[in-house]
Amino acid sequence: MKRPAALLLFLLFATSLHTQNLTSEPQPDQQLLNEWAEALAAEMEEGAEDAQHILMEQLLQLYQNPININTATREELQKIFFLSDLQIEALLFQRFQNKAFYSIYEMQAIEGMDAASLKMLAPLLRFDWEVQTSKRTFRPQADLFIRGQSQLQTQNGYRARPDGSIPFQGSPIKAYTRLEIKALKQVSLGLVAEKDQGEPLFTAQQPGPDYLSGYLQFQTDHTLRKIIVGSYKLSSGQGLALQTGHATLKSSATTSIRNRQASYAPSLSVNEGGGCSGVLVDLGGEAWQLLPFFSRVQRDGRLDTLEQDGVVLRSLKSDGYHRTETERAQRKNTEEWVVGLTGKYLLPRMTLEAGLLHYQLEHPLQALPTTYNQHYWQGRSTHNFWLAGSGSVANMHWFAETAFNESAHPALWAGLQSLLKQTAELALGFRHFPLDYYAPLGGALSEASVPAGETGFYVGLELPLPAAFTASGYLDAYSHKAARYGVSGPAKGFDLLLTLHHQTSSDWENTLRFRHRTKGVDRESEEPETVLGEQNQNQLRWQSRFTPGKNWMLTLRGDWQTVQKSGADRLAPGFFLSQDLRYTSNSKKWNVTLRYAVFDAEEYATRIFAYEPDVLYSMSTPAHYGKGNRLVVLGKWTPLKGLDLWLRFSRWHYPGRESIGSGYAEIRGDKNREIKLQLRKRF
Amino acid sequence: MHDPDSTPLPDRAARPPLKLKRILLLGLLAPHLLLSAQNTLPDHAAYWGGTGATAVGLPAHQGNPAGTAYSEHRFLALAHQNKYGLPELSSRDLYFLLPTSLLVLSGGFQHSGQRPLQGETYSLAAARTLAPWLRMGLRGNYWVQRQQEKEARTAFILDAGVQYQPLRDLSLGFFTCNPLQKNWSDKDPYHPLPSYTAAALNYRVVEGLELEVGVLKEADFDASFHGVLQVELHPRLALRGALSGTPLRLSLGTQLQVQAFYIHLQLQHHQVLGWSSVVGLAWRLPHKPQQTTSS
Repeated sequence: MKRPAALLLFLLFATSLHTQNLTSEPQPDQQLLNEWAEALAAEMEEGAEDAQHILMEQLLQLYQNPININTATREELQKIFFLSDLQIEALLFQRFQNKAFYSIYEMQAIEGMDAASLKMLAPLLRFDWEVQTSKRTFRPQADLFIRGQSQLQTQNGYRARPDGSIPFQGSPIKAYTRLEIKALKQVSLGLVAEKDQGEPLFTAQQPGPDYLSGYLQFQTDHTLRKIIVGSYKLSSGQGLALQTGHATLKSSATTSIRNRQASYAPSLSVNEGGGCSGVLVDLGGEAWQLLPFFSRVQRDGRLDTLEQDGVVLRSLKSDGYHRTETERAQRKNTEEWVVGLTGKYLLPRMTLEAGLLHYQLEHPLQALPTTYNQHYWQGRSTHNFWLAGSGSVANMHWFAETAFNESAHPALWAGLQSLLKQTAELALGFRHFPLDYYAPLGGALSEASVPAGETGFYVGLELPLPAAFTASGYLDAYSHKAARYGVSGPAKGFDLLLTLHHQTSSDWENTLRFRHRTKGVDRESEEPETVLGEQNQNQLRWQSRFTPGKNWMLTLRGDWQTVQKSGADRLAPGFFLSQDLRYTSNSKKWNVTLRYAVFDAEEYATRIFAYEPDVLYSMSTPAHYGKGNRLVVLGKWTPLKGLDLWLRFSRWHYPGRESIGSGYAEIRGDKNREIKLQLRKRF
Repeated sequence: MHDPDSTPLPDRAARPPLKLKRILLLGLLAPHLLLSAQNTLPDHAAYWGGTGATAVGLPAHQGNPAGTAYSEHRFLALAHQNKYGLPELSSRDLYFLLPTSLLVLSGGFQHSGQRPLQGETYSLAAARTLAPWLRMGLRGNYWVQRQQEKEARTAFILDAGVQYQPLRDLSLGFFTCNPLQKNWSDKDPYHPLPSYTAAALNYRVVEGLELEVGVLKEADFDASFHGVLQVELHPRLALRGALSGTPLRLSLGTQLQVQAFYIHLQLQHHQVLGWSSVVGLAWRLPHKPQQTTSS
């Protein structure tokens, strides 16, 4: 497989359908779909669960609605996550020369395409060589998910205080439901509702679910192509000013740094700390697109009342929890408005984008001053304006965006991707965020979550080697001009990732990954003044995946991590070892997955993130911290056509401990068990 | 030898009895044993070197139970282990391997220590070849500890393991001993039940030469990495060397086949605790080879 890292890049190439159409085609192989999702998600960076969830959702939609390879536009091809920009350009060029592809085998002649990649591609493509729109009969469809989960141990939040009151207002059950309906050819709608653990439901104070969202989408074949009323996500350029789905992150797909998220899509995300909700209109023709949009969202905020300034917003909350009285008092207590316009113009080998937006809060944002937030944006409103472009010249693909706010200096993200000698892929990227740059809806690739003051240079390379080896890696060198949380002054750092992948046989692959990170942190010192020091982190991972036949998948993984901070002794290394076993019945009506892992990471800095099997649409990449073991058992059963059931049991075990967690999340004892049930019905 | 210029030895009658001296020595060593990594020394590491994760046939009895599924013959075996020269830590094993049409059964009895502290372990394992490249096994162990003038205490633990063969000459093994990390009912910190997890890769470089690399993680200690090299000098004679750390452990062993008997000798040196030795004898019972069929 030429691009194993790219194959695993769910995150950066998260695309979304421009339509939530549910296909009238026969249902695809769900076992294959689940294996793809797990393999791709297994390579995500730690802490990227939101992005994994979005990618998982988009993969499922893409699989249900294959792309016609002979009419697909560049934007449509970008929905295929593991196709690199250079492969897409090569594919378009090949199609231009040959006029049409009649089967997947013809695509082997595409520059940079290999048999293994095509095998992954095949179920996502269809080869209609008639240009006319398909005249298939439309059939209304619906897809319903219902999920419930609960911890079996009692957290402190559910225990009565001495005065008899209970901190958490609701039950320990977490409930989620999601419905998508393709009612008519032009009309689709979706609904999602969620109640977190501890939140009340069907009470006087909370008659319905804590989170409720949805969309209604109408599409036509005219200039007014689409209207979305409800929740949606937006993306433009490299995301410097507009990227509401999920931020672009570094990953194992080392040459995939360009933002390829679709301009917009309806959203059923349950991320309560972001996203847009309002109206979006898609106006456009063959070569142009205009997207006026409006959003009004009620956000959670920590409010304060000042004598002179009145009510101010100290910070916006994003965790979405409304369990305690304090959290419920902060629920949806401040409004956020966004209005804007983004446009795109398509040229044969270039795309130009521009846009502007105005952002406003009900209450002015005025954080309590600290050493690290001196340059953070404060105020009631701001605006952004941006220009972006991307295109190809010979075998090079370029992309760039510059964005402005009230600051005199613009932010910049620019990059280049090239296919060297028709084999190796190279990516270069440069980013610069002025100290006073702020984009409330931005999400460009950066090292820090608040990128103001960051400058960075990125180099990525992917190189196929003989004997079925593939080497890839990136080096990201960056600097920050101002203090950040845990870093009392300007600092530099770099991030190095090296991956060696071996497709040992047709059903066995091995991956060895090394990562080194150096970054500035405050020294641990007994002195009152903070002194800036350095932290060095080394991670080594080996993963072996064996998938003989259609029934079994076995994955063995080991991690080793060391951290050293200047001025302190080297921390005890973190260790992780796991074995996954998955068995699927011959009838494919049921499958069982078992995961057992041991871990030993006594220091928080050496904690190890590891993806683990979970039910469809629920991604799990927990941090393994402390000393113990983890057991996960997951079963799926399809008793009837169109009806899927999942049951998941998981357990954390920390031998010798008297409690797990802290605060309201604390559990007595050394075990923490959770059970999860999910039902899916396709109509 | 007593130095005549030193203070005279106390009267023999006043010296502590030999047994008590050993117990005191053990008591002095106990914290040291606890502080040194790998002090519980999983049986397979002591008997054969390596982690035991890719052990097949008879050696799998002390290691990955999945490896016993590889057996086609019936065996009866006994062994004696002398750990660090301390009889209190020595053990004696009697075990069997019994392939049937459905499963491969194995089990045995181990007696360890000596008065006043002795231990007995009764084990029974079942393993099966589920596919030509996949074996799984499960083992139950019933532990009994008897201390003089105290009531015996017991515990039951399970081991589980899997072995698979992605290539003809290469196998991977993963097994866990006492994955639930059960302990005695009184949670005795000085005699904890073993709990560890191991994974290894075994590669047959050429016929008669095998290389194994693996990692073993005991519950309360750092992970240790193991390397093993086995050379078959003759179809009836094999040499085995193993190196692991930390702490550093060097192991050398040999296995000799004389007709239906297999003689096993193993020496191991622990960086801190010194020498251990194992002597074993196995008898391949005369019987028509039984192949366990996959499902």
